[in-house]
Amino acid sequence: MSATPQERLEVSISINGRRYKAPVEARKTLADFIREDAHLTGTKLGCEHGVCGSCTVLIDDAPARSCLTLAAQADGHRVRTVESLTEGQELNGLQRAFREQHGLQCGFCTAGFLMTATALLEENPTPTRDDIVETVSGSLCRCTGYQTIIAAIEQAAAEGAADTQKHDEQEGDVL
Amino acid sequence: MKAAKFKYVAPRSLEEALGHLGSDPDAKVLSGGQSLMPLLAMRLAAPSVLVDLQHVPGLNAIEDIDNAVRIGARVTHRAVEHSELVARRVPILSLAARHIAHPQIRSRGTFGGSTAHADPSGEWPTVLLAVGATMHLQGAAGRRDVHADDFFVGPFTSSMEPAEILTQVSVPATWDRWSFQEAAVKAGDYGLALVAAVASVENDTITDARVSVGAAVGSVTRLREVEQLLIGAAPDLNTAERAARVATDSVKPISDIHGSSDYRRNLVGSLVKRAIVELKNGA
Amino acid sequence: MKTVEKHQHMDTPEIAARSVGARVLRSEDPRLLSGRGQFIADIELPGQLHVAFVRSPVAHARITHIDLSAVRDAEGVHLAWSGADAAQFCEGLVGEFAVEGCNPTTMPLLATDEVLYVGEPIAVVVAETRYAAEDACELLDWDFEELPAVVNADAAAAGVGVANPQLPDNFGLRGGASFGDVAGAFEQAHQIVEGRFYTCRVSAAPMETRGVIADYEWASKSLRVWSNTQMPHFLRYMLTAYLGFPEQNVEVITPDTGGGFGQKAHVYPEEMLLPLLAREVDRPVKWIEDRRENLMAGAHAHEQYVDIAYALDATGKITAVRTHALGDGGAYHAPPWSMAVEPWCAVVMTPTGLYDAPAAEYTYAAVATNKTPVGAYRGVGYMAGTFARECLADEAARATGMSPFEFRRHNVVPEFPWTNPQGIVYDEGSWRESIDVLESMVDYPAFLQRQAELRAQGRYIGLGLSFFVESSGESTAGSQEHGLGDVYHDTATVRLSPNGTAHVTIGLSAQGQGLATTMAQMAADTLGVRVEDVIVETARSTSHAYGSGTIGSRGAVIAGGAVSRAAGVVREKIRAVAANLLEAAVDDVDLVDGNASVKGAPDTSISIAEVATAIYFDMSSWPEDFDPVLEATQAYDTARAMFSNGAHAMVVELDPETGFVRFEKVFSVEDCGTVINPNIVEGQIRGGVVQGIGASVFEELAYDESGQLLTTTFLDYGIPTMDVSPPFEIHHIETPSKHSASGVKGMGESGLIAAPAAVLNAVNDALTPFGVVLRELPLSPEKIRAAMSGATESAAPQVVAP
Repeated sequence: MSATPQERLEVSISINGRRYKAPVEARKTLADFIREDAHLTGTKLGCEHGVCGSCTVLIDDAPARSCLTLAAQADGHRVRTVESLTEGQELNGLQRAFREQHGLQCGFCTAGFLMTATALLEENPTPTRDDIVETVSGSLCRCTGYQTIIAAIEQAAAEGAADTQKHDEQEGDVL
Repeated sequence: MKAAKFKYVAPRSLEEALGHLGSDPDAKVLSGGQSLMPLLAMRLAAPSVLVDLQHVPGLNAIEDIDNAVRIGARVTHRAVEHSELVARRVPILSLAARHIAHPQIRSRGTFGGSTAHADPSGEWPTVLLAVGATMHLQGAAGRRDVHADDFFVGPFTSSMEPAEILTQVSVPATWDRWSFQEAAVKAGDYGLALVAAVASVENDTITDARVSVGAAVGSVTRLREVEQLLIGAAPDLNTAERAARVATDSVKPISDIHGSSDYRRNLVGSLVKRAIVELKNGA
Repeated sequence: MKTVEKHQHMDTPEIAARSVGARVLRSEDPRLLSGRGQFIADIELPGQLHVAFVRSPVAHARITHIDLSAVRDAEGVHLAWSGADAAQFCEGLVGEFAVEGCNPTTMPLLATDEVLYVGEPIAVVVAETRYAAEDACELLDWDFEELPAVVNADAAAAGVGVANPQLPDNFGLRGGASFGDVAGAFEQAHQIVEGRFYTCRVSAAPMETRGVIADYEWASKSLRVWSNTQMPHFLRYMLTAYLGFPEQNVEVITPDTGGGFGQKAHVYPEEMLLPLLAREVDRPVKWIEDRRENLMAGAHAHEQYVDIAYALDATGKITAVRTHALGDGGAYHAPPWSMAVEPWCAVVMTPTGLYDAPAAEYTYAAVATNKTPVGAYRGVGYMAGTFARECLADEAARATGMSPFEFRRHNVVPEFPWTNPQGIVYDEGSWRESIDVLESMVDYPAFLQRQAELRAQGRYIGLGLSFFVESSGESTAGSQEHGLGDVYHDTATVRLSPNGTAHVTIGLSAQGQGLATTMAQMAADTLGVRVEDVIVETARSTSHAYGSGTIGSRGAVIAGGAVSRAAGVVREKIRAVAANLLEAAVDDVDLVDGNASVKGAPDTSISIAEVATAIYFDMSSWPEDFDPVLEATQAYDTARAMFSNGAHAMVVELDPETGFVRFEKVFSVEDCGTVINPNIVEGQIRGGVVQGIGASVFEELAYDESGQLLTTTFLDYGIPTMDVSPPFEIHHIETPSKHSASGVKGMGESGLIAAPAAVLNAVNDALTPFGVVLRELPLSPEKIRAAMSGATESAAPQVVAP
């Protein structure tokens, strides 16, 4: 049976292990879905054209710009945002390292850096400085000058802090 | 910066996808979306329907076929970058993949999407033109194959029909030497100039070569004068320097705020030299 | 000198540092790191509507027709206004600068007759969603007749065209002054070095764009405005002054803010319009600027030419300095700073710097062009002035055959206090020491050897220096010292709870500087409590403490002073009751680490928590006539202008084939008096310097000849990324001010102020073998490559024999 193109459709996206179902306009970005429909505002929009990296989330464990993905495209996929990182009510190792190294100032770009670094450390728990720079250069920060972000990721790697907890999906949390 | 309205559909088969494209001239294919989404957000593109290929089977494989590697249109840049098969058989793709934007883009952007987009600054168009790849297209009327020389016809313009879908690209694995050079100010920036070069070498003599340039030009272009110079020459520094001069003289670069045509002309020369030096080293 | 009368709110208690000076981790971070920060875009009010603007696509045109009916009929639209609608409520924002020679302009909230720059708002739409508002914007029916665009400052100054009919000769500002025998010094000079330096147009481009939410409640006539402004109290004043909302009913709320850097220290038409729209539709309205708008319509910065000349005597000493600045101001004065702020600051604030120049002369001019208004960006004016002065210092060093360190040591001010030719008094500083420290940090002989070795291999590295003197803690005294009459003072409120913990509110909003942490350190030491027992609220609401704005490197000094004074009042309450409880003299009671103890009798002590509990709940603990309020609000302003100083050295390598600049390392010396928190000071240095690297090499807001802005995305306007940002080595010198709490001085702007000169000097040092000297930013790959390939006409140092 052939589907019909829709201007509005219902999507179901697992975010941080919870399933969010909502009717959306086809044009709605995943970033707007995360922020407006799932009310998870830790993911920031800095440019909406895929350059600044503030909206980076993990889609099926790979870092991706949520402003460059439609909510419709993410239907049925797993998304992780900055809100997934804390361990209970404690910062995880990566977050702690950012704090200890002063790897953030205004904090607006920080979620993007954390999610990109999370993906890096999950894939490569012992990155070199070059690996970090190569991977994380796709995120912009206007406050720090970046060196303390590199130091934070190095510290997190040295402490083996990769958040390898990939949340299992819980059914039943319907938006 | 929000997109204008459009409709969305995610067909389960190629036939169905072709049906959507065929029934609406303003329908457009959505693959990874990494180039299309900014255009939508800025309202520089206003398709009526986006036909998402993610559930269309058969577009996700990287296969070793006779004398070529065939890459599905939905294979991500990241998958190309990390493919052991690609690294072994067509290493220029591995080299070029690392220059494509950033990891967050490479995880979503697709090989076919970038190829069909025919961005003159695109790494894939430049590389595919150099290696002489073959694009496999599917239309309602059937399949057809288009050689890269006939595929990239202008800036953001390919010879695909609106109702055709790029399904795979066959990248010849028959070249002996490969080089990809890109000059970008910052990691992940659009390059100011891209040069891809491939050669067949026997007894220290280049028997066949193709060289292409991207970003510095209005659309990806072969540097035929450079190719002619290379064929029959030894892959050495002297050849590289001569090739650089020929490239500088023959390329027809663009001017924009990121660099004048004079600057780009010289840059292309420098990159051609680097590329030929690398061919010498057998990369 | 001009001295501000000393007032009691300029005195702060003397307190021994405990947490001040420590690398205290920021209290802001856990929220920000876990996605729990609340930025303006994150705020959702029930029933809120969304706002989008139609902006001019052309630089200069007369509006001949505008019809909103299709917009108003569009799906989801509640309201749409053009300029005429907005003008019924407000004719526009007057921009001017309180110095002689300034011609004011009035910037309409929405363009009425003419549009004067690309990005100028011409209509506004209120709709159910931002998507719908943007849909409706596309339906605006309007026509315009294009007018010639003025896009070049020199042409504007020459009277070619009129950019803004309110300024018929294009001049928004013109003036100057002379101090000492400048003409004589230039006549008698052994040599004169001079040059014209250009700082290109850039954007502060904070990662968070601007945003405003307004909510008007008609029954009580109360207006609440959320804005990520750096000046909430000033915005509140403007809402009253221009729109008539009664000030007592206006609250401005500043949420977490994603960087400001001066761009958010203006009052913009959008901030004025949202309250009017909210009142009109009787619903909360929200506008979040998108990046394209931010690059088009957020204040631009920097664009100006600075002509500077040193007269040098036979020993290479500067005998006089002459500067002329011409600012490309854009279409209007951007309130409150105006187009004066770049060229005026450049020539008034910076020409002598750390050099003992006995005579100085300056002229300044700002001209209107059909571009976005220029406003403040981190060290406004200081950057261009320091850039010209420090680049000329390197040229003078070459012209006199001295090393750049030697030339500066030869000319540095020998002792303090020092009064410069303008009469500005500098009380203290480590100006000479900073030269020596920087020279040893870079190991200059080793650098020269490495440079020579690499040159022989066809590699080109360069070392560039830049020294700065930064006016800090923007204050009434500082304003007067520079010839202005602005009055600044801020308040802070400190309250001690019954459990001995403190709650502090300050009048400054924060944009990432860590004010909640540094102010907790200041309060903790004064109160004698642990820093983790102090909660600080930065100006989240104008209902709390008063502040003149987070500008001019004033946060640590001014808010710190107010916190220290308010905590000092509470401190004396605690000491009085502790003395009573410990049966000791008040003067003998010390408050440290959460305890009140008696000097010389460390075992005689009581916890501050116990004292606080007693004050709240046990009247028998009170001394006679005790007023039990454990809360104080105090104002603060500095008694004197104060200045930080320091320097950066930068090592770069140039690629002759691509013209790319690689930044190898930055060495920084910073003297901001007492350092409250080294982590935060170093963070300000790194961030500011990398912005300076951006403004020197990577960033330019480019216009074409028709006045079209060509850089409206982050693809075209490229701010520095991690891969191009260098590592740092930072050295602190501490020369405390005698006039601030704990001796702190401000330092938030010095990175951007001084880095561009270091970059250009380093590039020019690397270019030495090619005989080329560059003076214009940005140092694009093209310019560098041309310089290295002999394609640039040799601009060897302009050394003119008089």
